[in-house]
Amino acid sequence: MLRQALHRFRCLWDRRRKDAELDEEIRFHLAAEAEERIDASLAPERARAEAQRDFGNVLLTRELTREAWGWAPAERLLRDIASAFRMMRRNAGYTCAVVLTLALGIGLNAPMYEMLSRLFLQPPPHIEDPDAVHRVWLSERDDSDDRGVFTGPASAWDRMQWLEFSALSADSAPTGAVAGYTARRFMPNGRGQTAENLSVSWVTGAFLDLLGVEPTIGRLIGPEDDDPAAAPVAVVSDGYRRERFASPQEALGATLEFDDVTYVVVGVLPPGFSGPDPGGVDVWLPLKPAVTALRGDRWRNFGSGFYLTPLARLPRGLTLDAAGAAATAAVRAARADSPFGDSLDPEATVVLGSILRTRGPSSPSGEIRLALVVGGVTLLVLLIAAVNMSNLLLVRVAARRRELAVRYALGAGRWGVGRLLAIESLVLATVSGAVALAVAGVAGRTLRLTLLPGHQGTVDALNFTAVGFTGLAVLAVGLGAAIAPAVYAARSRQIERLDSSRGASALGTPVRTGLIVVQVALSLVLLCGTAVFYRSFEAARQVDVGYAKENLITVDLAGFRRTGPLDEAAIDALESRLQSLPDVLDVAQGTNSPMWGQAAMPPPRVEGLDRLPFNEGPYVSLTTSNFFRVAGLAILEGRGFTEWDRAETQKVAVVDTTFADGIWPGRSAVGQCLFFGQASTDCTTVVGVVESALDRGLLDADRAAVYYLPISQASSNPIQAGFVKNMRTVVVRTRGNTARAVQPTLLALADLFPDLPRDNVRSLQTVFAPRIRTWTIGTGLFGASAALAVLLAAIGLYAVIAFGVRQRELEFGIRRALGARASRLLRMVLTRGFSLAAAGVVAGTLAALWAGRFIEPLLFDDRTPRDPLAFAVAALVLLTIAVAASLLPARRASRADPRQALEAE
Amino acid sequence: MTPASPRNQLLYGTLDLLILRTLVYGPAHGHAIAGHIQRVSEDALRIETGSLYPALHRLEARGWIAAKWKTSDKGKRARYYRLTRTGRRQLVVEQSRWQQLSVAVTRVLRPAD
Repeated sequence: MLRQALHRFRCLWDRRRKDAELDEEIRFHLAAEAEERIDASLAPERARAEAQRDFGNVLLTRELTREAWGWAPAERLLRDIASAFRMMRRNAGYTCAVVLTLALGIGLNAPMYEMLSRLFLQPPPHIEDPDAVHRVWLSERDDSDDRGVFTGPASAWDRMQWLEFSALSADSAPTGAVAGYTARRFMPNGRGQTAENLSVSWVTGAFLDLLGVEPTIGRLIGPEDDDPAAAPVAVVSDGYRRERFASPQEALGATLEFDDVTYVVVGVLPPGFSGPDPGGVDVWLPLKPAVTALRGDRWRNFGSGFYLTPLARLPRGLTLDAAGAAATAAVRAARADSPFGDSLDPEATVVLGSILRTRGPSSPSGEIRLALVVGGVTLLVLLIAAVNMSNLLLVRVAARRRELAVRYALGAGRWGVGRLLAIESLVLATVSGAVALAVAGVAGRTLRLTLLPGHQGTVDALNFTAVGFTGLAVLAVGLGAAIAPAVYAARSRQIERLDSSRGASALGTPVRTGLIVVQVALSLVLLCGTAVFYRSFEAARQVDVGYAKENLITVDLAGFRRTGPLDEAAIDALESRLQSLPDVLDVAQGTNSPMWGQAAMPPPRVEGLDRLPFNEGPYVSLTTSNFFRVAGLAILEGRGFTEWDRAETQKVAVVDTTFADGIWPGRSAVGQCLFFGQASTDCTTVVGVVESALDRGLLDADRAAVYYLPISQASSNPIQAGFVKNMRTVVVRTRGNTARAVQPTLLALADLFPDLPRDNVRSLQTVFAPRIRTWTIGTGLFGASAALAVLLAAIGLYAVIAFGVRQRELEFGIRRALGARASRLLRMVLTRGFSLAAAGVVAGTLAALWAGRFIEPLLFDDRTPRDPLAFAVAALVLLTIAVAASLLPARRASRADPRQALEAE
Repeated sequence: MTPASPRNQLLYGTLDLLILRTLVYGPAHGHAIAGHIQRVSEDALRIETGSLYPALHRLEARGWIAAKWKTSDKGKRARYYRLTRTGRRQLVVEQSRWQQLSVAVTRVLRPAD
């Protein structure tokens, strides 16, 4: 055994020497044979000739003998690979095109796949026996009719109020161990503009222990930390530890300060741990002390607006249904016992699901949906790249018919040539895969940050999943792309002979044209997607938010928990300092931060109405007299506030169109009365109507009713005075771009309000941008993919048409010789390109009509994905490019030389 | 490329046996081995080179024969094959297998005997 292996190894080692030896051995044999015949008195030439004849096929003998050396398969593989590399070097342009497209295709898909698999397939890392941990969903109906009967469809949430959670996590827990955590939020650590914004999650004492995570150093948050009297502790993520501290030991004992409470770091979590969600959490804090410090004691009550997500670790033997039924009973009992029981759906049910939120009963969020669509798009790009490669291989096979014919003649089997093609294809795919890893390394991070900014990625740029995906994709594409060319090569064997360098050119054409049609169709789908998303993007971008959002900065002065009212002197100082900045045009004040928050106080009464006809609001903002002008809210009727609206003059109000249309439909709001305070007869006159602003959302349905009151008249009403005392936003209209004004504004803020974090200074453009993020990203990604796809389709189409023209060069020449005009030949070829593209456009349109359902929920304002204009533009673009791609070969055809054709015949 | 079918009419494996047996008389080069088999079988068995050299190299790869370059009696360098010890053992195995086969075939041909 060993000797054999050694022998083989030696053979591999000195194959050149062995080849030479074999040659010499055969030469000796021939010489000996010839000599024998000379001895039998034959003429020497004759003897040699006969010896040669008797020996038979020397090449074949050599080939067969080489196989006997025992390493034939390995050598053959090496030879085929070498031949593949030679082929690649000879056709550098073709190789570059294939490798680049395939690398992009695979390189974009690998991180996408990794991302989606983290969202949908893999349990979060560092969780012990993750299959036993379940997310607890509460399914309930929100709407009740006038009699308090709950109607409408139930929707599921993975969040509960504290009393419901306690019913689940009580000592006699119906579902085994239960622990809860809050969705992460960003909180400044410390005060002022240097405070870092950390993502924080509050957890119950049992939470980290229930997940089964082990700290790398120190300890976890435990049940003892639930005691509000206990010293506040914190556990930090590995990522944050690395950012802040040189070593894990250094982190232990360090302090963090959130909302004036100091927390001591007692432990560091392992790298990659992010809790049950993929979102990165920097700091974990014990829930009870932290929430009590922030909100006082009311958070435990129903209706306090505090929610946490429960997780349950089921004991062995308890089924999901049984646990769910027990939990449902516990939650219903807790609701019935509470004084708010009437306002809650008594038939709420509890369902236990996978720890992955995306696998739960609620429909996916827009963000996740977008990630899925992008995953589909990148897969489409990969498919196009593979089809393109297959087509280019096919064209090359057709061009290599002679070489293949020679190989067949030399005795290569159908299988052998197929293998050769598969190896060439695989080598191309492997080289592409290597480039793809580089692409994935660079693009993966960007893609992840763009698509899911809130989701923590893996620590490494490339991980096992992404590399594994690349490997599989290389194999699948490499083999898949070789199928059509191999089948074609095998079939061509039966028809073609060595001498047929032309003719039979129609062979393989159906496959080639079919592949082109597929490619064009897929490109059209992407183009349509781009156009549809672009239309949504444009529509969303042009939404009128009411405010003139360009060149507007807001400075939120109420962002930090304060003791005592705002410092009016500091506000005045800030205003005059901002006013004096060269890049600032004007400054105004309001109690509300435009496009950021809304506030309500007990609504005014209106004559003739028991209650105001709004589902939501009305909201209020108390403003200075120049607010409407500075914020850019147009006064549509009447007037705004003036400096003559003072405490002692007639009380005035301004309402927005939503308010006016809701209360006084068809009538003018100006001159109407609002009454503040119970039983007050003191009329506050509406003096003007302004346009309705979009403080959140983008749709007209998001426009809430708002009324405005002058700050100068607030002192007479205690509620209004309280509003003004505690809330204030300074609105700054800048000259030109806001960028130049932000820094001096921050400096002024640092001097006058040193406790406020940087985030409180916002330009409205940056507040607006995330709202249209879906369409910005959608347009960008679809656009980039479509551009790539169209380029590939153009290359493919060009290759096929050019090849067809080369095949028929003779025919064109003859046509010319027979008197066909050049323009006619030109038209012939162009028509061919056009009709191929047209077929693709038809197929693609059908595919896009079908695929529209996937992006429908993502489009702005219920726009349709079957937008005729978008489809028309996409089709036009593709057809134009198709004609352009066939123009070059068409010119070549029209210049076919009749003389050459005649000579060849 | 597809593996070649045996080019001669010999039963598969018989050629190996013949080669091994020939080399019992001492080292020989390929041409001599073919000649010897042809002579001894009185021209009944003609070994084609397309089978001979692959077989020789296969036997060498298995370690049953070993090769060495020597100057032939006519003064040219030739590759001489000799039987190795494992080759000798293999010859015994092959020979007995052939005899079994031959007896079996004979029985089939003359069942009434």
